[in-house]
Amino acid sequence: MNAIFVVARGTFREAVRDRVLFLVLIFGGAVLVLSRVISPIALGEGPRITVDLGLSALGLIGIAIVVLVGTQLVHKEIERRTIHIVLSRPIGRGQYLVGKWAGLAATMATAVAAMTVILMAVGVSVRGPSIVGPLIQAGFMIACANVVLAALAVLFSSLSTPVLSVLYTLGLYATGFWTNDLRSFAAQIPGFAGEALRVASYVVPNLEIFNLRSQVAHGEGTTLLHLALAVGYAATYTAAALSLAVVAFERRELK
Amino acid sequence: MSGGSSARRPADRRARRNNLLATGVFVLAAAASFAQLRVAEERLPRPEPLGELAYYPSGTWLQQASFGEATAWADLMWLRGVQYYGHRRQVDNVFTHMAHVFDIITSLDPGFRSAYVFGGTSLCQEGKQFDAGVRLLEKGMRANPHEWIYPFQLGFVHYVGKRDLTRATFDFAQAARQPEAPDYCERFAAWSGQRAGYDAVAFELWRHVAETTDNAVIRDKAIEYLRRLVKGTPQQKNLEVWAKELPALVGGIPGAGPLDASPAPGSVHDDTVPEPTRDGQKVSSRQGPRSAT
Repeated sequence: MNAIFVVARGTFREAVRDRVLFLVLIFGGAVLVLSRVISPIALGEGPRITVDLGLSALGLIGIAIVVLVGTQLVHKEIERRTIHIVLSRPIGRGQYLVGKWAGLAATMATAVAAMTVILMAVGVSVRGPSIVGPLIQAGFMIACANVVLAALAVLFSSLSTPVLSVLYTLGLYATGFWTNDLRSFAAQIPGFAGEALRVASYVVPNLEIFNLRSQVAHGEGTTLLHLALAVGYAATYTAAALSLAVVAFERRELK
Repeated sequence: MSGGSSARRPADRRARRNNLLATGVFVLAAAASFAQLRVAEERLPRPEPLGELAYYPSGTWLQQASFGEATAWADLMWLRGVQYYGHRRQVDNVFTHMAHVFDIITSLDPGFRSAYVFGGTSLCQEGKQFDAGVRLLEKGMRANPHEWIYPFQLGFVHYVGKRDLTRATFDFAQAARQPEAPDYCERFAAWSGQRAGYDAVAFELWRHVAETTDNAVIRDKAIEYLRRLVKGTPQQKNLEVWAKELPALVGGIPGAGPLDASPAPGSVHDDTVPEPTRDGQKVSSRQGPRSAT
């Protein structure tokens, strides 16, 4: 456990040193300012647009960190050969990988938390204090979704090149919001193809379960049951993805 | 050699154990993840498929917000709108959001012909939202004043949906006046005008069809309708003289043309089409506004 923590801390520090958080916060701030600037042309929907675009920015920031940092995590260390130094210590490959994911998740969660605080301040000014609860829920759910994506990014990073990892992660991010549609399509297709599509819809991460944007845009939150199921799903899906990554990484030749 | 092999053995064993452990975690986690997803599907309120369409803001707003990519957004919305139509067709034939979505699409891309035509006719027929469908087609007509398809579709929905032959005649005639309008627009106008009792209008339209068509069969039909219109009037003799003076046509295809004098049973041209109504009162097709001619 200590080994995992050490690797996670190193990953987090490296991300901070690379000014990832700084750049992300600038980007987030710009999006929030932009959402306020376009409010006058929103025909009375300004507050809604501010919250809506702010939440979209949160999600994009999370996915940007996961893709930009996560997909290069392992590859960069293999390239620099620093991985040999790390693994020569009493750190297992599995611990190393889980530590990398934990560091990445912490970086992403910090950025999302900071952005949520900024968004809450803006949200209270335009929609009153009742928006705080729904915004916290939405920010938390976005972080959960990105934790899952971070696990997938680590999985791809341990298997493939950074470019392919980016493509795979973004592909799963996009299809993650279509899993319900995929299941509807599967129900229309008879035979093996339909069954295969149905199975695929359960293998792809269901990111829609973490999506509270439309509720929050209208000032509503969600139930405890929904939050619990989403957290449970994030935890189990992450565990499954990371254990696959560990199996793949244990077999990988590190030259 | 044996020393190296024995040194590797504990590491190999550890790696194998880790692999086994990770595989076990994977199986358990995947099963738990699947189970939770199923619970979520059953217990959480499921949003109506494509229900987000209700939250889409107006097309005017979206056009401002699209930063020059309005047609691309219109395409995406079109895909969503068609999905919505298909889904509701399969489920309950209730198209609550369809008018809103097609209004957005056509605001984003005012030249999106399929959106007007498909949306307008579907709203009038399957959607049972006649007024909304007509509004959409009229919007298309305003945005594309020289396109014949919008007045033609308006005529079509008024003829089929409301049996409003007066309005249909007006719309078909409007379509026929547009550049590149196919010649059947005029025939539809003449046909519906004749049925609505606008004999003089129908006469002029049929005469124009007969004079301008290059299809001998269509000309014969037009002349036949003209004969019916002037039967028993002093114009009857003049008509025959005029018909003989028309230049000869060759190569006519028997049965060609969308308007047949002996329509198939059940078609819109069937004789079972009810009498037109004016102000809710049934009127005889023979009591058309002859004075207007």
